[in-house]
Amino acid sequence: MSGLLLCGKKAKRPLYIAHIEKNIYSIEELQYYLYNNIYLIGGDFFNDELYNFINDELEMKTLSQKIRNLMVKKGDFKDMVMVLLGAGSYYSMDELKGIEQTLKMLETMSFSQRLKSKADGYFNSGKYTTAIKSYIEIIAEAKKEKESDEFIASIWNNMGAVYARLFLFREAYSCFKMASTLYPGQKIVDRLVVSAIMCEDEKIIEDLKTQFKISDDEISEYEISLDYEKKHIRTTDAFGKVAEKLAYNNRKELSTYYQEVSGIIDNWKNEYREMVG
Amino acid sequence: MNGKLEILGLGIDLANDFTQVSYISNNMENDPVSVSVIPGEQKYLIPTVLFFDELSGRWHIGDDAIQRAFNSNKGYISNFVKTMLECDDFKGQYFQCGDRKISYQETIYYYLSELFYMVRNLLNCEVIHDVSVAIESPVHEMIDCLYTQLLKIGFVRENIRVIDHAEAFIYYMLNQKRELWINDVALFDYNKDQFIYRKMRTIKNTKPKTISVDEEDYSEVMHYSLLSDESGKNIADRKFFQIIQENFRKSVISSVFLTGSGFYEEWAKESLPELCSKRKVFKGYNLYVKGSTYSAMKRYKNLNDIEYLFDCVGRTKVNINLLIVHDGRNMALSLSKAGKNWYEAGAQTECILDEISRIQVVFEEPISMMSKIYAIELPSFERPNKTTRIRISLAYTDDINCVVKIEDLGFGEFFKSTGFSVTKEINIEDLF
Repeated sequence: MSGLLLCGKKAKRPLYIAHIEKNIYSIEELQYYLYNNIYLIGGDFFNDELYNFINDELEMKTLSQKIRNLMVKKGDFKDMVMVLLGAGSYYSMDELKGIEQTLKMLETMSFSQRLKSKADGYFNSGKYTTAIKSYIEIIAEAKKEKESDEFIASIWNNMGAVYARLFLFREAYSCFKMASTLYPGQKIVDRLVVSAIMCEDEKIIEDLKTQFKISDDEISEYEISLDYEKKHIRTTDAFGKVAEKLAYNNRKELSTYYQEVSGIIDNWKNEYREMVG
Repeated sequence: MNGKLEILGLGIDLANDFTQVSYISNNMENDPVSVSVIPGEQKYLIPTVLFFDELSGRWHIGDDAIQRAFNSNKGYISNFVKTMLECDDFKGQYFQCGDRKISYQETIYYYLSELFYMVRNLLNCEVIHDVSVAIESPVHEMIDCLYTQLLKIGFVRENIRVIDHAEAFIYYMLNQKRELWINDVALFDYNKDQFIYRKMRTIKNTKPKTISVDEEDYSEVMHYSLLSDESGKNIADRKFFQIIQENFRKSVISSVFLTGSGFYEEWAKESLPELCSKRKVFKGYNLYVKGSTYSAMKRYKNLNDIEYLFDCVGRTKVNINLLIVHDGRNMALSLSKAGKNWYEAGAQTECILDEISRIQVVFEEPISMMSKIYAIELPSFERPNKTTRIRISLAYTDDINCVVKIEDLGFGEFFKSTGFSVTKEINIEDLF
């Protein structure tokens, strides 16, 4: 049911969440964090610090007591999550049912599968370096647990995608190569070829042609598609705004222009730093 | 307490010509006692004037000020209440007091300080808990000024009240015998500045019961200058008679009160018998000050106003609610209730937007139960759903105008605020 949701109290002393490096000030923010990072959270999330935050800062005594009772009884992780998410009106019944299903599914997963969900969570939240580290650990674990080739290939694939986001195309190519070797499929081949082209290295193109029997014509088709995408990006509003700022055109003072360009570059640097963690 | 009097509630009627003070102490019954400036006599009217004596280096008020100013007008300030009530903005405004400029704020501060000094000495009292100032049609600036100066004098905010004469009238009547206000009550207020007719009625079929005061201003018809000679007084008598007939024809009046200097002399030869026909008529000058004292006593004694909603000048006219969702159901969150002093009737709340782009504020008349929805559109904030927290603030600028402000607060450290805000000024009368 859409509308205006009445907010709870704001905390004077926030709860710090290390892995996202953010402070949380309200029950709504806590619930939002939990809901959107469910794969990254384990039972250790429900600890004294959380209890004190809910009890003392948010003054939600009934909720804190329920959680405390579950903690003392070493209750189910799923139950604690549902109690916390169900407080107030932030999430609807349908949304709560959805997350309950996700939690049930997590319970049926193997250890590697749960770790992969967690790593995927890091990937989706832009914590790329942490995601890569997690994928590397999972591969070792998955081999031990004798997970399927398809599963292990998906890990290499995701790792490749992370490297591509970081513009590390050689590493991305290596990962996609591993994925394709274990469990070939058209999507993997697409990523393989594109990352090879983005490397701009003849040796890698040769490796691609030799190992995966990709012809020159096929590579050309990918190059044409890439060109098309590059041209398309130039027509977007986001690109236009940045291009306009980067073009001097004598419309403003030089010092102002330098300041704006520095600002853009600093933003990019900060974004990249956040990505690499 | 050292034999000193402890005053629970002090009422002040601050009029342009005269000020009056009355009080209730902890060893008294519920009836306020007026303060006489000369003990043992009935000298209750304190001229609302201020004088700075260069020789003593002190401020003086009332008759004392008039006597000291007799030889030199320098440093004498009079008519300051009327001047201030006609001013929209006190910033930069001042009175010339001899060689010095005294701001409006300072004028009120010095006047009230001397007033309290005088009262403490006359009554031998140390502690005054609550104070209420009754004033004719107080404007926002005047209310702010009175609060600020009373805070400076040493009162705490929740012990201060500033009320209109209409409200003082209600408080006074609620503390009289029920038979006097079982039907409507009429009040005629006649002085150098005005002739106001007020009618108080109780509307019984609302919950809570509503006490309403309607006003008519007959100042132009009944100009004070009419009383300067006999022929003028005759004219005043005839006009008063017409006013009585016109207004009393439509109502059942239990009692009538006459107040103000205009009724000191006996000129209402025809109109007074008309008033007295089947009604009780009272003449007196301390109705407002006593009403003010009753208002000051709200926190201490269970006076009869609690179960009533006041509908008069200075009180809010409508309930204001916000449509929200709580526990999966649509609800109305109360921001402000009708019948409150407008300058105390503000509210603030924070909400999260869930797939909506407009805020709906509901204005509801408590008597007719008519309601109007006022919608405020919001821009798209380009964030995931339920990650926009907004602050909704409501404040009144007088009893029929309010301001609703909405600000984007972002969503903690997840999404920064855009700095967006929108303010809407709403005239309640235009809505209905």
